[in-house]
Amino acid sequence: MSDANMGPSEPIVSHHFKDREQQTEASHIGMWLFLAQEVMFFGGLFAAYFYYRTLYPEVFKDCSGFLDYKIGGFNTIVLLLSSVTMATCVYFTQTGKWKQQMFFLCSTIALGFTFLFVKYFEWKAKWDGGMIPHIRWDEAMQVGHGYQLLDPVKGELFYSLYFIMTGMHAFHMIIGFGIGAVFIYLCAVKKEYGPNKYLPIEYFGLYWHFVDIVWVFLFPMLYLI
Amino acid sequence: MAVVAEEYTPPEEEKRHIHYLINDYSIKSWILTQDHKRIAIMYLATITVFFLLGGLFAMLFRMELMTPNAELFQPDVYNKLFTLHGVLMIFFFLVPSIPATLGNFLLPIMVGAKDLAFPKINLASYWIFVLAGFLALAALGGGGVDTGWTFYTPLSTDFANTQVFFAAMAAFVAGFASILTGLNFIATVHKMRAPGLTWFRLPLFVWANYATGIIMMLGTPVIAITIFLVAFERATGIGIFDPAMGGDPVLFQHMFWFYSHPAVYIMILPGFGVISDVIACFSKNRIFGYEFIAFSSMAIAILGFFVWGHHMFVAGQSFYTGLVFSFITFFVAVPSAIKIFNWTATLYGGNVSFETPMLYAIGFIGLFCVGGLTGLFLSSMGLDVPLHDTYFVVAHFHYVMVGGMVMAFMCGVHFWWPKMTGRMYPELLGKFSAVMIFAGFNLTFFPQFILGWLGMPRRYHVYPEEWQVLNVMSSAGASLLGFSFLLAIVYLIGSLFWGKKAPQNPWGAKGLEWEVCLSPPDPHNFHEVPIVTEEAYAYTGKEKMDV
Amino acid sequence: MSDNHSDEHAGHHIIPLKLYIINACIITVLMFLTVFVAKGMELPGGVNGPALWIALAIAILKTACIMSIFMGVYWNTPLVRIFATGAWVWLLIFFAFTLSDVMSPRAGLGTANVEPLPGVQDYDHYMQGPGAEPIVYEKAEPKEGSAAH
Repeated sequence: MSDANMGPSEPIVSHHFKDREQQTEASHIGMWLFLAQEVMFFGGLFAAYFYYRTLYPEVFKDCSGFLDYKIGGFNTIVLLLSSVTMATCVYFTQTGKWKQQMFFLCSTIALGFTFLFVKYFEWKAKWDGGMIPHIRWDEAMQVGHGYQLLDPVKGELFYSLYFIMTGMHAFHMIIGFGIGAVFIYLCAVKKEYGPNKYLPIEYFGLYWHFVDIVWVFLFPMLYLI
Repeated sequence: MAVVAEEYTPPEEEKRHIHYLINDYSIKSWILTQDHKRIAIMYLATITVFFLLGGLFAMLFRMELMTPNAELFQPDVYNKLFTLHGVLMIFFFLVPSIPATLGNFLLPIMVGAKDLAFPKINLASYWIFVLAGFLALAALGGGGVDTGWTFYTPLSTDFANTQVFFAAMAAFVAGFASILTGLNFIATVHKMRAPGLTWFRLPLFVWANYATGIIMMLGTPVIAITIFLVAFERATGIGIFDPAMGGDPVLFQHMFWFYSHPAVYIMILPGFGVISDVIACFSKNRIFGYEFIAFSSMAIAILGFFVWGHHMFVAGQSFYTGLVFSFITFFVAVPSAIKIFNWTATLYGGNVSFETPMLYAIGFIGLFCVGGLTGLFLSSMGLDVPLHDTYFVVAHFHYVMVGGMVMAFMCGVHFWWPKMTGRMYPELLGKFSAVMIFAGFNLTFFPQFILGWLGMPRRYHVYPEEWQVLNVMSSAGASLLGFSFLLAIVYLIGSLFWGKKAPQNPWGAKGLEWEVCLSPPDPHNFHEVPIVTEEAYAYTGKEKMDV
Repeated sequence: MSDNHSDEHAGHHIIPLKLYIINACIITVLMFLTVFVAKGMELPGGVNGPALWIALAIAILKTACIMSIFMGVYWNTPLVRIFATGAWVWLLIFFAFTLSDVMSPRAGLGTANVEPLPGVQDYDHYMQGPGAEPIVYEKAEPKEGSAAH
């Protein structure tokens, strides 16, 4: 049984749509178009990555050796789990279970925070090792921390791409936190979403899964290969 | 005898029709409107401001170019003039021109819907565009940009000491506004067509805007990330595009032109849509080869993504990649040619009349042909070597952008002016302005073909003396062009106050916006859902005009 | 109320939780496989050899799993599926042409058999970046029959 007063008692259809189905389909298309352009956005970064990788394969392999793939793997699992909890939250919104919806929404955000927390330590290690391109790039510091780069100039290029790509990914996660915080408020206090109104939660879920997909490509390309 | 005052009832024709412009007068109802028509009008006002600003810069550097030596401006100021002309005209006028004004206004009406699929996103798109405009003005106020609108690295990332960051951010944000517009269009055309309105009964204007939306969605994010990287590189000093740090400027050009070539199709495709509608209306004839024009719009949208390397033939791109790009570029001319043939065939056997929109449309066909054909010169690699970065290129793209797109924009604005504002513009002034624009345009840009062929480089403020005559012709033409545009803007604004009230269908045109909607339309477009039973452009040749 | 039946007609499919768990397990396994292929095995060809392609293929497979199950694309209408997959196709186009440039020999157009002018095509000077010594140009003699004569 669904929880009482979870979301509107009847589906709401905006005035310019003729029925709920048209509204849902149009919204689906709209959300996927947005994700399509996000694919192209991140794709540009990956294009730059593959371009330079083709030019300097040895440098890239060497540099990725200084990224700890075990931490990266752990982060991958964390993000995957957050995808599961997000999808589960959507499920409970659709079936009208408020406590479970809140629990899984909050766990998604919490797992996301875990991801960023771990990333903070990763980046801090690079900061201490003098491997932040141009802002704190010091070869003496690098050698002192055990990072002996094959080619410091092109290595700086790799790390520029690394920080921009993971930084852009982290930025998208932070945006996700912002939206998630709004949703937590709306679900906890106003019980805005339920079986008759769950598309916003579903679309937040799509956004979150997309951020996971970006990481699915980032992890092997930057850390493993 | 006592006179009994009767209650005064106004005669029927004086009852005010509450249309979208007057249903609510508050500022809030305009700023927070979700009505696509009001958003379109706001866009129209905003892009006109940018058009005038960009045109002002053009006037300034054309003045400089009247003499072979540097008389008026320092070289770096000259660089800023042409850069800002390009940035403002492309990102803040051409890209949003028809989609955000005519498209926003007409698309829902043409598909028989009460609004676009996502009205709030439409509103967001406008305010994001305004934000981008403020960023551009900030770049302007902070001293301008001098890298050229193409922001080539490493000049823009390392060596320029102008407001590259703000200009780049302005283009980034403006791109986002166009993404939201495209998103709305695609969803609306797919899902909100009226009953009976199959894809092949849609006006070709809708097909054109749909194809434009697809390009916007797929291409704009790439320039967003490219510009972001430039701005980031400028701010932090890292070297993604800097050869001294292992970077490659050609990569920037790949990423930049991956959007900027399809961008020119964003700019021209809606113009094609307008011309289709106008030619059909003023020849009172069915469009010849409707499906061909519809599919050619999609073909241009798709093929346009495969040709960007033709901007980079001499940039250091691989010869073999250049071959492929050159080959495909020849192909992409074919769908445009198909359209030209079909429009010309539409005129045949029709009841042709030459009102202002038709003058612009005919001018478009001729000028776009010239522009398109000269593009073929540039797309063959051998010819591109001497012609690249000369005035030949400048003339080519101005023929397609101004002779093509801006003429199509004027055409569309005049054609749908009665519908949007409920007023007729003065026809004689309209015709005069159209002819003057055509004359001024050709005087400005045809000499530039010759100059480019002779070898005059673009973006230079000095040139050898023997080219002065042609440059003076070009500058004179620019003055004529500028005056004619100003005249058009003046009489269009004047018509809002003193223009004749427009009937519902002054042109005798077919289409939901003419046959069902009033001039101007009601706030919700239709009182009841229209049901479409006839094909698009079902002209019989006997439709009467009502001007 | 279980509106599943009428919801399905309206296109609202509720995906069972069990599928999510299974999907997550599959993706985890694939992740470990990627790590093994990249770090655990010694594949020939080094970085740009089979290891790269296998890693990419597995990443694409994981993406397909996430998209079809977590994002529900499997149950969407064909139109939505086209939009969902279309962007990836477009990305491939971008990759293909850009990489074709960097992977084929960069013969500079118009530069074969031409004496480089002093400084203009001086790659070494270019590579020194800002702060390098400025080049002093000499005015060249105009050739017979050229426009400048």
